[in-house]
Amino acid sequence: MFEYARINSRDLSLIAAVLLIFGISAFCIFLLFAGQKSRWVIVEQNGDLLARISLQEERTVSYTCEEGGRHVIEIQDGRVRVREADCPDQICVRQGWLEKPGQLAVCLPHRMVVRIEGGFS
Amino acid sequence: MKKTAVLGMLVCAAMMLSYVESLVELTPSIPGIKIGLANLVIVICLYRYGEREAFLVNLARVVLGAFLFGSLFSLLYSLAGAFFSLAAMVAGKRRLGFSLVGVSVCGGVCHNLGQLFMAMAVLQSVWVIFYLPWLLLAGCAAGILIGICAGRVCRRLPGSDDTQGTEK
Ligand SMILES: [Zn+2]
Repeated sequence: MFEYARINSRDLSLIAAVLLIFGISAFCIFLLFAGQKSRWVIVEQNGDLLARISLQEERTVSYTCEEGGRHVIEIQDGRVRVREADCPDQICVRQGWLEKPGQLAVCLPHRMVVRIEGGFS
Repeated sequence: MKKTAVLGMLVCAAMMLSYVESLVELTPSIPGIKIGLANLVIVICLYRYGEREAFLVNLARVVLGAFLFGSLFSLLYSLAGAFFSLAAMVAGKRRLGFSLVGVSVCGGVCHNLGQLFMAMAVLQSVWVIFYLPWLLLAGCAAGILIGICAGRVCRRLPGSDDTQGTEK
């Protein structure tokens, strides 16, 4: 009576389709950033640009927004991380160092994104 | 009455799985987005009891889970993931002729997609799409695993002689 428990060909097509979409999307993202070098640190909140800092700098900046939410962003040796934050989940801090173009650290409670923008040359 | 008790136990099991998942970081590179182990319970519930029961158990475990281990904020993400996932599983079970594994892959993938879309909307940033491939892969893997587990659990549960369970 538990015939539904057996994998059928439709399942296999579904899994193949998901893997195909995975491959295509991973390849597109790879192409998007291929050949780029990490250049800038972009800090955005609610979709607004807060800062655009060169990755070559050695800086530690702190951002506080009006609705509460403080983030300390540290740039060092061409890498960036969220060093401290007062969000409840600390997910942005646990992302650790970012160094490749496209990499990002997100803070959902404070609606903030720190990402690396690449550039050619 | 007996069914209510069993559904209560299922809610409890789902919450334990969510809790375990919150302790072990399965996807360290994509924090905040969970694989959705609790979906195991929802899949079992969907097959053993039905759509309405799966919906109720899903709602109860997400709301209670957010109050116990999360915040009102994480509730938003859990709801997006949980109900997008359930909707996909119901569609897959009713119309698309998937087995339990296919249904659970639908659920796993859509659980992650729901959370990704919610994150995109809240952050107002399209760059979160960077996570898409890994979320698809993780959702698919989790779905296969959960589907196989759910199949085994369903087979071992007292089935044919179960009066309030599947009638077929
Ligand atoms: Zn944060």
